[in-house]
Amino acid sequence: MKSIIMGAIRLILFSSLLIGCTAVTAFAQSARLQLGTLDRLSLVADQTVDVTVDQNVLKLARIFISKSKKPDEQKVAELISEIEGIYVKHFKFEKPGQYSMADVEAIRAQLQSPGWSRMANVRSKRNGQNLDVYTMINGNKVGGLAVLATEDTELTVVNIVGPIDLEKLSDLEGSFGIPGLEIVRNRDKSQKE
Amino acid sequence: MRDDYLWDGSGEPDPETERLERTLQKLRHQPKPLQLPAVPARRQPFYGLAAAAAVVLLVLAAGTWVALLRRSHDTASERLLTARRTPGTLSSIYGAADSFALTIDEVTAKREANTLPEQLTRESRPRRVVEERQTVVAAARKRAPLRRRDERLMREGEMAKEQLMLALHYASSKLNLVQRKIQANKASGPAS
Repeated sequence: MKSIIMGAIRLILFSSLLIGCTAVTAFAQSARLQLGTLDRLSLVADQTVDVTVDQNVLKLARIFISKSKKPDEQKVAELISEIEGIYVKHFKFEKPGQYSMADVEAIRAQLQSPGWSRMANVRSKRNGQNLDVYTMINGNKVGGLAVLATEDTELTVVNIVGPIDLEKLSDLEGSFGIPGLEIVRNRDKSQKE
Repeated sequence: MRDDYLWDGSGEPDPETERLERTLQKLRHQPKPLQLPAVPARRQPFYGLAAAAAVVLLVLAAGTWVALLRRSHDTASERLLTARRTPGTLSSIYGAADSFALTIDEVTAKREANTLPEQLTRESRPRRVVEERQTVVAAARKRAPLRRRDERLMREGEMAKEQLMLALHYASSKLNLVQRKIQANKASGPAS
């Protein structure tokens, strides 16, 4: 009798350990970044863009885009077919130094976890521009993407969860009648001058 | 003094009584034949003319009623068929149903605004059109919550699409910016 009880207890402990390990592994392998630490920056930022496209929003958007016959939207429908979520946080500050590197490091630390690898890094001393592109590779596919772009007066984090075709994603800029961010930025500069 | 004179006229009359008799004599009953006032001669009524006018009025009323019946029936049937044949989504069908109901209302209002009296117009309104209108209006009312839900879903869908586009736009722009920077670095050479 005692051996049966001991055996049951061992089985329960082993199962709990297995479930816990699976959960930890799954969490660790998730391409979702915790961006909540950046929320306080919206209080000091001049402009804030916070876009959260979770699975519910994606589901609804897929229905609408799939009905469209526009070629651009067909591309988008194809691109987001396997995506699980897109999260964007963009802050524009009035003057440099309004956000600390600790804010950026909190995000960068998450990208040091297993699964993530830095695909590209561009630094420019002229305006303190720093661009990092991280990808999470699951098998042969890109299972997630993170773009961390910092400037003296700007901070942008883009996090895409789920398989995504980077080439198709790059092709989207300038589509849908919206100019690329660079064009907008150049126009702002020319207006200031 | 005997009072027989007052009872049967015999005997000696009292002088006072005689005086009263003389005074009231002109007012005593004088029997004469009844003379009625002369009645003017009555004119012959125009029975024929009244009958002709009544017939003309009846014919006019019947003609108007038939014309109204035919016209409204044609219009309603045509519009109902158009609404039924219109292809498209649920919302467009509801829209067609609403426009149909409104069109009937407009037609009815126009007819009531015409010279015909209201009672006549109501009686002459074709029953079939009224029934069709009631059916369509009832269906539209029944489907109103569904239509509202569709509209809400449409709004939410549009918002979801906009959010997605904005997010993809940022992602795409930043990726392209990295690509451009890398290409620019390559073009300028390692020394720069």
